[in-house]
Amino acid sequence: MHIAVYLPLLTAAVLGLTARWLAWQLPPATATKLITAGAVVTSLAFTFSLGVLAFLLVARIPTAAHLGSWSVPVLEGENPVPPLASAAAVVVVAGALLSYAVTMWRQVRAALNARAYCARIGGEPGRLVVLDAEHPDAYALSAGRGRIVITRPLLRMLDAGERRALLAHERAHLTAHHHRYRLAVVLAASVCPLLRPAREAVTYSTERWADEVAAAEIDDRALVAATLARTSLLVDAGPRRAPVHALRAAGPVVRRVEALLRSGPRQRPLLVVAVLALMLVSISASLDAQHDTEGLLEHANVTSASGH
Amino acid sequence: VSEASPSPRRQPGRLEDEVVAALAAADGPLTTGEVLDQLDSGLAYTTVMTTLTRLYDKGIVTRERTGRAYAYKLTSPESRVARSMHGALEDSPDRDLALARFVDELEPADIPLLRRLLDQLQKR
Repeated sequence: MHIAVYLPLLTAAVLGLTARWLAWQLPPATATKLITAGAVVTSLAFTFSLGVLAFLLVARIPTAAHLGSWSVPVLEGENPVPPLASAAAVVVVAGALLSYAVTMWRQVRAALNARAYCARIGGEPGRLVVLDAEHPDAYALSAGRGRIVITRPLLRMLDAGERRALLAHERAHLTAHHHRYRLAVVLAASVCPLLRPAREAVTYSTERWADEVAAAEIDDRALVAATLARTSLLVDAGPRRAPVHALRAAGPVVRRVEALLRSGPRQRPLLVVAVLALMLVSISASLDAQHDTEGLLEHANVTSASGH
Repeated sequence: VSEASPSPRRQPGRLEDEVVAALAAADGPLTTGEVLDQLDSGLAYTTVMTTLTRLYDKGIVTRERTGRAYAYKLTSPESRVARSMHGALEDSPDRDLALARFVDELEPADIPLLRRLLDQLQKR
């Protein structure tokens, strides 16, 4: 209990700190699934552990103790968690729940906006919609059953091969449901700030994933790399993107181009096992903390029953 | 060429998207042969022709006759709106009533325009 209840904080921190590196090291589809699963599991364990810590303080409040018929002296005497840690946990849990609610609300609103936008631009599910916009732009919309949106100025600047590569990349986002992984990680990070770097890692790994699907589909890694480099320059040159965004995107794009120019990604079974072990530690630590807390409450209950 | 390609046959949806992208990139309407040249793939002429016909049937492209062949271009957003308005009207159980309601709810600024267009239509 002493250590177990704090372990999920550690595992979440470890995953958060290594997420970006994992996204670089692992093949993109593996990285996406593993980081997402890891983020969801560790964020749940994190919230659960904090919940236990918070509960141990709340249970000492006379009204709560009365409701549960627990002895406050026993809870205070045998509780290994310092009150300050519990008090901090109460604050963090409240913050986490609030942050989750706000994030969820924003995501729902964004999804509704995207759906309305999708209805406005028309087109068929999963298919290309050409927009007569002023600036070069390309993206995959996940709303409905998805749309690929490319503006006419961008299409005019690309040759036939590049258009094919771009279409294959955007289509891969839709067919592999990349938005689901991104959403899961955003929600996980909303309850556990330690996992924030995982959002960027999964954004990167899903982009890499789409690059690899496109490269396999058109059987030309160099062409996909060239298309990526060209479109990112053309799109970023548009005044609609803030310069900050362009600067931040530059790093990952270079990295993606380099990855495409190398041979296909290698599997790294040891890394996968390490992350799975991390998830297992998270889960078992949570279960252990729960078990110990139940034991403590049972003890406090027995004592209070025999004491009166 | 088809032997070198690892993907055995491209799905029709993908091909339609590539054709749409090629038409959007072009300066003017393209004939089937010109679309084929713009696709960077060893596709058969008939495959591209079938795809263009399917896009035409869906109203995604319009075509005009140039000599012996058709030249295709993307349907403009305006014609797409007009097409969906017509479609909605056809689907309505009471066409006359639906049209009357539509006229009732016209923006005041649209009325003179509509009147002028109808006049022009009558003179023709």
